[in-house]
Amino acid sequence: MSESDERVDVLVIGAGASGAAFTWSLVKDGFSVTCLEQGGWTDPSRYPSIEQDWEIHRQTDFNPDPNFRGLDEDYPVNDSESPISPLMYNAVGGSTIHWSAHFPRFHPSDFRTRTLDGVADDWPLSYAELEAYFDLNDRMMGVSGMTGDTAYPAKSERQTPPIPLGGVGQTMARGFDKLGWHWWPSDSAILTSAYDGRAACNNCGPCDIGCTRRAKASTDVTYWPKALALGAQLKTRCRVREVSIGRDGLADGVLYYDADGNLHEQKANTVVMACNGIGTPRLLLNSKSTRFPDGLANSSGLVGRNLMFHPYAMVTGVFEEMLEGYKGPMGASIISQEFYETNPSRGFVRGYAFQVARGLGPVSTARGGIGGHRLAWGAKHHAAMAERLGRTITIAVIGEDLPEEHNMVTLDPVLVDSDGIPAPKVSYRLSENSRRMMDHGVRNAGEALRAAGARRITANPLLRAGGWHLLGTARMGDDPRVSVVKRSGQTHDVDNLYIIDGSVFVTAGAVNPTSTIQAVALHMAEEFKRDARLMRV
Amino acid sequence: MSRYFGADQRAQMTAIVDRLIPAEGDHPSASEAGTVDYIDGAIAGSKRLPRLFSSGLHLVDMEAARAGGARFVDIRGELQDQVLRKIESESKEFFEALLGFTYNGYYSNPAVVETLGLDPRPPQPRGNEVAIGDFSSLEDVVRRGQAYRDVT
Repeated sequence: MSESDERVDVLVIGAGASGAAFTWSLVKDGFSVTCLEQGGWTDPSRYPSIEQDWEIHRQTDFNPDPNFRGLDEDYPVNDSESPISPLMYNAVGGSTIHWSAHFPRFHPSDFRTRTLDGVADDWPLSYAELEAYFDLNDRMMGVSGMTGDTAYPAKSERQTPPIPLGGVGQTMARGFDKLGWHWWPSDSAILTSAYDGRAACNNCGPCDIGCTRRAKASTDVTYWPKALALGAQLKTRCRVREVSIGRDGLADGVLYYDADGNLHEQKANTVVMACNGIGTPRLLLNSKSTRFPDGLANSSGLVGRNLMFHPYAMVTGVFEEMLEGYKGPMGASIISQEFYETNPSRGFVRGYAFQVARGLGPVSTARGGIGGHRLAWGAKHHAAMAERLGRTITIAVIGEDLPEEHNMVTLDPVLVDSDGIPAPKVSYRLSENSRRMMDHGVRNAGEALRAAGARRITANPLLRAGGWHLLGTARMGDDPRVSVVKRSGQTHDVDNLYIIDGSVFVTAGAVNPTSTIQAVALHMAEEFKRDARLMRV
Repeated sequence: MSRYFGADQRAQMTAIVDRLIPAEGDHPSASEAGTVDYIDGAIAGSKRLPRLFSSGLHLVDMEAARAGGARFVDIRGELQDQVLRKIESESKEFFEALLGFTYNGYYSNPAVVETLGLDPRPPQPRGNEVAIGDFSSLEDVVRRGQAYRDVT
């Protein structure tokens, strides 16, 4: 029924943010690594930012929601029981293809929420232990920014200067200054000068439809070329159905479908999962056997549970002056972490951050962008367009949602992908703590926009198309009863099965997670190499 | 030239989109900017849209008959708006698709983009000039001191 591929040593599933970093780290030190990716290579020279109808692609082939995009390499996600839709991209580079490349790190406190605030759990890792890997990853991805941020322990020199403030960033900085609130030019994985063979950003704007200049760090232009040059094998359009288990209870490889729907058996000595916080639990739950009837590595019952998204609220101010917000990288030019750390007087634990996003092009302005209101039609339409185009600032309020077991990824009983593999279903509801936190954030974002001079403010208290961050569904910990993997990424249940993506996060912090996802993956790679060397000795 | 619309539907669509985006000053109306052709192409290339639009446009004429005793194209502008508002509140899926495609077609037309005062070209390859900005007030942020919690 299936073709048998030649046995490999280390098999990584998923070529996105974490899989790329982990693979590179291993091949650099002489390990033999093969990676299977369900998507293909994208061609930067053909991204739609060169087309006149570039904004339309955001709704179609570059729609961040796989249910709308519906490409062959995508799989559907039942999100009918979640107020937030999961977003992802399936290709070499994974969701770094369409991300905005915000690159803040977790704070030291994020790894110690139980000790500090009595909520969730401490990580079996600390900021101090990860610091060298944050730095290494910054060098590999190329980060623009400015040292001296008071919201962090001192960081090493950023690779290039910060992305330009432009009218939007400058205006908003004035607002924060007036209130005496923290702000800083955001770390972004976007080059502002040439670095490592890649060109500088030319401020075209829409990072979400792919970067033609390779200035934005997607792993297909950062880690992968280096990993491939060092001998990594990368097989694209290979969609893994399940991890297979040998008689000894160890992972024996995977079964996958190629682009033509042919089933392959790929034997491996070690299997490493890097499929994101939805794809990884989906695959584990699909890997049932008599030995593992509830899915693989699931003796704790926690595979798929504790899903965290980061709730987002969008607060938009309309300004009198022309800010030309459609120019410059669309993501945060600046970030404020004034309300990041716990302050019990606020009525909630943990905190949130403000990301100042730039404005939108004409199509997106007319349609309300992500989560805004579309413009009125009829006699007042042209005036409404003139009032808003280039004259808005949106503050994205990103809050820390805590892990809760009822927020989870399961297998949908009906829905399947194009190869017939059961698709995931997400069930999620916002906790009372998160609701209070987001309300607080919306009020304060409004205050900051007013201080900056906005004359009218609208808010979307919870963004539906905001599930960019998929975390927590195979959490790490020392105790196998309440966690799925050890700090090394090795699963408690299966010695040669590892999980290295955002699934392992114990908490979510209140920042975009990719910098921390990759630092954790690099740290896990280091432990993997050390353990493998010990085994050989 | 139509791929999907017949002559009557084309006339009806022209009347509809010009109520959605009328001409004003330098701004052309939606049909003048080619939006009907744009929507025609979108419907012809879709599996889902033909049914949505055929029943939606039928509904528009039924509402027009109820409100003004004639087809949509034959009633006066204010009544047309009234009909469209009714469709907007009662046939959301059709109306939002209609309006969404109208906005898509209109604002991806370079001639329209030019009337907005923007350079009518794609973002790449030329990109944009953006002011680096003034970071000097960060001194005040620094003066306010450490903004994260120490962890022991």
